[in-house]
Amino acid sequence: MKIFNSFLSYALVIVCCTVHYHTFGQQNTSGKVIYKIGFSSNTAERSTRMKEASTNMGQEQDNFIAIMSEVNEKIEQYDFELQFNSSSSLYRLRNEVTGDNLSDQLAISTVGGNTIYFKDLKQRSRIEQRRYSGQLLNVIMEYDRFDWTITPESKMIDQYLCYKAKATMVFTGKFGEELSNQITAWFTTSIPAPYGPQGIDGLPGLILELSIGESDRYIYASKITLLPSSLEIKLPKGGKDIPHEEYQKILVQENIRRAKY
Amino acid sequence: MKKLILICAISLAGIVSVNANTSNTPDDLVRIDCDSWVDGFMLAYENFNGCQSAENYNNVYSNMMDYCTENLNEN
Repeated sequence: MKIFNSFLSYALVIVCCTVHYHTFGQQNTSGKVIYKIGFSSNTAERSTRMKEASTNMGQEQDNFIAIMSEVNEKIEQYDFELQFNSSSSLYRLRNEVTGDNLSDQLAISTVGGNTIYFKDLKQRSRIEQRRYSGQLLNVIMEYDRFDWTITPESKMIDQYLCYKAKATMVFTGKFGEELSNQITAWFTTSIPAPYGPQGIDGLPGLILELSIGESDRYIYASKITLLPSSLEIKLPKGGKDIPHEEYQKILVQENIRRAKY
Repeated sequence: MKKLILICAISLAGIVSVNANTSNTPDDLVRIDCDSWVDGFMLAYENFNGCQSAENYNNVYSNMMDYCTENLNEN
């Protein structure tokens, strides 16, 4: 009976998700979501981990801890905005960041905040706009990036019933090695928009909370605004198109070159 | 997690040993100091944050190298 009940609840999740998802294209769903980054650990726990992580630094250990503490404070202050309509989405950092501040630069690099994530459902395209060596690049990404497993586990986030989903994110490490992280997302079919933060999406509802790997950082929706009329969404103009594989090769080659100094 | 840290540590240990074996001219020394400092920082950074993607590593490395050359190696 227990097995039957869990099968039934799982089947219900799938049916609900499918019904919501297929009606999405017919609705005029637009909105803006502010995401923030939080930590599941407290400051003291992070400080202990920083000390343990930097024992190799000798006299520079205090400097490392000071820099990383400032970085973590900055990360919590950032606002990221996802704009979406029935066919596309755009995700970017909202804060203006001054160029010379180390903790800002490091914080932004740490959370991928120097990238604009654009997705077009009709064109089946996914572009990440980045600046590299002073050049603006439109990195053409693979469209279907995630193979999600939706679980019957649910919780309320704000007023929205959310389901838990898991996927594996494969990425290229610094020297070209293939690495992967487990992603856990909480999404709601009440907002049947298949989008999410940091280009992580493809579920039958908006992602309201996300954690990646074993990091104690997570991304959460802090403000959700649904709009009655369709938002116009466009990738900012300019930039040179480059396939993701080619871009990765350039980065890996540079990382290897630096390591050979 | 321990496995990831070990992989990162082994990779960076390789970098540090390459640096240690490099024969430097006096003009190179300022640059090599920053290379070692940034390598040490990146090892601690990856120990703390986990293995990085090629892009994140590249960005953080560039940020720290700029910081080192502009602020730390003038003395």
